[in-house]
Amino acid sequence: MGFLDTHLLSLVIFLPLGGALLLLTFPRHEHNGARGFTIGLSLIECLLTFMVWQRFDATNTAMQLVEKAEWIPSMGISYSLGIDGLSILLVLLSAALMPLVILSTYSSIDKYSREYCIAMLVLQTGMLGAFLATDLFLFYIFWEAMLIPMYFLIGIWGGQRRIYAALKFFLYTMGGSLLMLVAIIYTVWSTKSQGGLTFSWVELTERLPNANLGQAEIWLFAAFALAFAIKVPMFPFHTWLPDAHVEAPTGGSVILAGVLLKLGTFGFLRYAMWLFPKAAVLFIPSLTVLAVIGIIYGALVAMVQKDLKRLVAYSSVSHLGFVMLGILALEPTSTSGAVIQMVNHGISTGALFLLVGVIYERRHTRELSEFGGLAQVMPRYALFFIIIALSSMGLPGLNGFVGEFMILLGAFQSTGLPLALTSGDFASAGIWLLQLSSLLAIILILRKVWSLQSAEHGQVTFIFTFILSICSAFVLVGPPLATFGGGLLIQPLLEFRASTQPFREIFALLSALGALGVIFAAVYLLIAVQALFYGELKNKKNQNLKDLSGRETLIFIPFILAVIVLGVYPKPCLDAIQPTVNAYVKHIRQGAGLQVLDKKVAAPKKLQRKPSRPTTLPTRNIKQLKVSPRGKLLRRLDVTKSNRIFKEK
Amino acid sequence: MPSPEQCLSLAVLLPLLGATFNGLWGHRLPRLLVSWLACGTVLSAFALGLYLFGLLSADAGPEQIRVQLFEWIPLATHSIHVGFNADHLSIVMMLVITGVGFLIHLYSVGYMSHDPAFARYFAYLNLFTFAMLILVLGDSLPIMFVGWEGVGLCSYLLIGFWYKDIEKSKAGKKAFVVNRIGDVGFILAMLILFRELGTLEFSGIKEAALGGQISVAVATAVGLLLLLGAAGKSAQVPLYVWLPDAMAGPTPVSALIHAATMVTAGVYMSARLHFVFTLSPVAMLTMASIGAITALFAATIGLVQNDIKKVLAYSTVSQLGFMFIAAGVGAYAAAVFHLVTHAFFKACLFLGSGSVIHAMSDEQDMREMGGLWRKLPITFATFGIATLAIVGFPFLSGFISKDAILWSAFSADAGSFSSTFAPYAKIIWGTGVAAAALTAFYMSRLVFLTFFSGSLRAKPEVAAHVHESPWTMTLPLIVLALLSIIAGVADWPHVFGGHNTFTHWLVPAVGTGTGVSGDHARTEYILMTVATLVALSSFALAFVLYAKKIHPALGRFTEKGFGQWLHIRLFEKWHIDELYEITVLKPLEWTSRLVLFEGLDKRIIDGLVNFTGWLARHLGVLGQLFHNGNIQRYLAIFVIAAALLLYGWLTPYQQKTETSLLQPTSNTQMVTSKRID
Repeated sequence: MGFLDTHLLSLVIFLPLGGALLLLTFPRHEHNGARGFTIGLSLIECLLTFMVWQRFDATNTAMQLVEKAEWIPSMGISYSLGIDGLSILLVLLSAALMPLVILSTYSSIDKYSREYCIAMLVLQTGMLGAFLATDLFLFYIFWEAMLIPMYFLIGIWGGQRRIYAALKFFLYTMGGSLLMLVAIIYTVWSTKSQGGLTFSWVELTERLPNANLGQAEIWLFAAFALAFAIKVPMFPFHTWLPDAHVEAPTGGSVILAGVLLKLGTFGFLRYAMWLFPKAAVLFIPSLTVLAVIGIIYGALVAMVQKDLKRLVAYSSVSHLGFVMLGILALEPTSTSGAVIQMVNHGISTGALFLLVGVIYERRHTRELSEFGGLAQVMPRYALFFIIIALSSMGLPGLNGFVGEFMILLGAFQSTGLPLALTSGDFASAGIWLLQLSSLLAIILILRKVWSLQSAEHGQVTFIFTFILSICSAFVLVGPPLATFGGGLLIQPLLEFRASTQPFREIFALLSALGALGVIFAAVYLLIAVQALFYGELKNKKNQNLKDLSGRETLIFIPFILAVIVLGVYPKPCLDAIQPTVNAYVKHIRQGAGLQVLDKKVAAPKKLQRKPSRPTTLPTRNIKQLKVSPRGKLLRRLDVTKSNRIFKEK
Repeated sequence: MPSPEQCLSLAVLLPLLGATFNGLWGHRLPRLLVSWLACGTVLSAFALGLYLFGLLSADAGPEQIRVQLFEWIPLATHSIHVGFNADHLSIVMMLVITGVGFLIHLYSVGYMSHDPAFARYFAYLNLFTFAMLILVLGDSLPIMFVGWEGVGLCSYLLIGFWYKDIEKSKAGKKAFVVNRIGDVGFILAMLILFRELGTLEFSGIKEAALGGQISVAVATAVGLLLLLGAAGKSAQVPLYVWLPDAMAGPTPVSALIHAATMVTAGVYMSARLHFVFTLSPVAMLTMASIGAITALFAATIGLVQNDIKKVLAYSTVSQLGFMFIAAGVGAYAAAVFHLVTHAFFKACLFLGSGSVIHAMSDEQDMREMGGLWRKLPITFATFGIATLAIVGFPFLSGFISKDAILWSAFSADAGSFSSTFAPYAKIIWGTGVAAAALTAFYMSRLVFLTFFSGSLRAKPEVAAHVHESPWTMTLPLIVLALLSIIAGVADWPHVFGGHNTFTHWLVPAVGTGTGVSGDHARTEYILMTVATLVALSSFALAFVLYAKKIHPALGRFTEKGFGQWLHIRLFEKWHIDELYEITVLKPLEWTSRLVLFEGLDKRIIDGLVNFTGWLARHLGVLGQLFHNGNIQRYLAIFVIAAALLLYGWLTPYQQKTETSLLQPTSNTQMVTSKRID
């Protein structure tokens, strides 16, 4: 057992690769042998990760089970691994998904099964390596190594437009990560003066606060952030995702949604924000806005999809927006929520893709209009689908709710971030947005009303046009009236808003907007459920569909159990991640010179109301700051002595 | 004997047990066992509730029974625990849910006896009971929210129970989505409270509210957001639209979920959190106004509907409006009491209508009915009693509870919230009376059209099958009818020599209410008389118009002019559904499809991405020109390139040597010499 104690993580990473090499010796067209071997191997892998979980000490926030060996000493590159509360659950998830994915290939993959298994195993090595590496060079190698098997998975076993999708996936991701490579090299180079080159994450963490990066830190963060934002994917870098998902084979989609996307969010915390906290806080406002746009945008677009898989793909954009919101809020609760939500999304969306795969294997189409009434022929399938859909839309009691709720709770109370827009800015932006959107709505509505004129709505539309024009006049004319001191109805509203503390800060507003995603999540998932299962069995092709087989049921039982257990009793998982996540948040906040949100002592606090929030910037002071060439960025910065480094030299 | 805490947990978990068992293995079990299991778990929960009620009402008994099972979500400040709390308010709700719930379970055994999905139905129904118990017994907002969403889910599943009919499943979806809009309000309210107080437990919020830690602004924000949630769940304007459609579900479901229990959750929540609401005049006034508007508005629509369940649905919306009025003016005890009596008589009405529909071979149109009182005597008798209760026939339960609400509204400008309601109390009261008048009219119309107005108008083959229902269906009707008569005794008012027992019972949980003091017996008598007279005249009008046969004057009124206009508007439910369709749903869909998906996503973002790819490829084409495999072309390029190189090699050399001659020690010389090498 000595070897296991010292090299457990290496074993976890390279067991799948070794298995892949062994698979090369298998006969070429012998499908089941390769599958069986891979399932066995991935079960051993699960066992290994379970051993990692057992050895993992949740109270220790440092890297654990560390391994370190010199690799290229002349450049300070080492082979170093470690695991902490941030990666532990994701490692478990990556290992647990694999046997289920391979189990699904018995019906979904009918050509090159052996090669498929090899690709999957290599992919697993890449993912686990990226989660476990604590050397930036090693991380980059694994990060890029993941792309290759995924490229082949989409390109060989994909659907009609697989080449386009594979290429798009590859280039999109590659584009971002090349910039990251440049940034890694620059970072390492800039800390050379402090004792030679090193790519070690731990070393760099210690060195970077002393390195005089100056303006470059912004660019370094941007390069890292771009690579990760593409991977997440954040709006507007998300368009590779629907194509990749739609074209990828079922297993590829499951791994892509379940694990690969999490590397983006994981990377934000582990690398981008951790290494460059001062630059991170400058980007947080815009990134958070993008995250919230992603939540709503993804949900709205998912709502109008006709292809089931594309619908699920866009729902990922929405869910990952939640995760990003939680991470960016830099508040222990929300960030823990984000980490647990990564796992929950992996489970729910992974299961959804598998479910989509089931129906695709039977009918070779995913068009929602092809289905309807399936609950009559596939009751068990319907039950599983509905449970997973409910978990995905965040029904309390199932897993999705825990993460979303924690994210919202935390983000809503996140303080200290230099985001305090003045309420004047806020109001005018809101009014502009309101006017703009109402204008858009009016144009669209009028267009529709005209087309309805002759239809059965005749009389009705006239009345509504009338009401509508009054409403729109109110919306358009009201705000200016309010500004000039008129506006009977608007004025009290504005005053009310100004007098309500929580609404002053943008995070509260953004998380409130994000909460709207909850509505749309229900809409698109229920649309899918209805289109699949309810109504008459009209399509003749669906009449003889078989319900889930024993093997398929076996795939989904673990998912259902996980969904329920994580929803009712998530405490063990949360306990494992919370100390580390708190340490991350603290480190990033300290590095950026922000207020550190320490664990508050509950009992005395709740009886005393804080008079005001110390971190809210007095609005006038901001405006009086001298505006330098980068004044716009500086203006948002909570100016404390520690982050004066952005000053011009 | 288990401890009270264990009893409480057991009572919550029993229905879950029934649901799991029936859900997983029910379709393989005999129906008798399924129904015993389903009814038995609910009845046991009711018995446990009675036991707890006994404990709470004992002289030296505890004020509440509280149990925390385990930590659900660990947080930095107050972690969220799964905990239940039975106090004077929630025990009343628990008894209603399990008591009326049991009767409806029993009724369903008969009603659903021919349905192939018998076990699935009872699994859902038990699951609903479980979720509803969590809702009322949860000791913190998140736990309440678990039940809140859980009942929404069960409502969705049960509305769309007969999923083969796409319209029914659409109605379920609509209910779920509209409720979700309200739920966002609920979530946001939780976020604000957590941010301000760091706790979401009711005890903590109450302590903070009474300790003055919640400012008026926060209370207003929280109150209005919670109100949004309550309006969704309790089907109030503007989110009431789902409830009439929800009648697509089986009738017992309408009785249990969409009349007696789930839709009253909003009222319960406002009573539960009364300490937050009473801090904010704006929230209270909004709540009362919403209630008044809803009560009247829904009643107008109920006047002309022909579907027996639709009338009852709008009636429910309207009655919920009454409860909102009471809660809005701070008379939480009156609100909860009306909730209880309404649970009795409305459940009785729905079950009675179910009995009629069952007898009429699933016909729901009242124009097809008539003269049924001979054939369905028990149904008619119980239905009649419940109708008398709802229209406020003196001294029946509905009369007592509705009168308490109207009196609280009328006197709201004299009690502890006088400044809030100074100009509005009388308007709200007047609206309430008007709504009560309309209620009397449409309920009488319903009874006359169904049970009288000549003979049966249905087709002969339907008419031949009309029969009274089996005992499992009539027994609940009789029990509920009896309760509708006598429930008023529980809160017999002072003016009739009673002691307002129920109101006093609730004082520990919801406070003392509006706090109007002094002797107002005379005013109360006058108000009661007014309300009764108004209701009686409505009844008389309905009698004239519908009792024997449909009066011809009615036809003349609705055929032209204003009467016709009004009739169409009412019949088409004021076109509210279409309004939402045009103003919210369609624009949202178009924006998502045309602007976001086809425009932004496909054209702009993907366009840019593909343009980058195109650019790269076409820049490559430039390079392609040089590599086409043509030897002559290569040679030509070689020669041209060599010439250029030669030119470049020579010319700068000369120039640079010239310059280097001028500056012999400069770096230029080294550069040029390197180039030569």
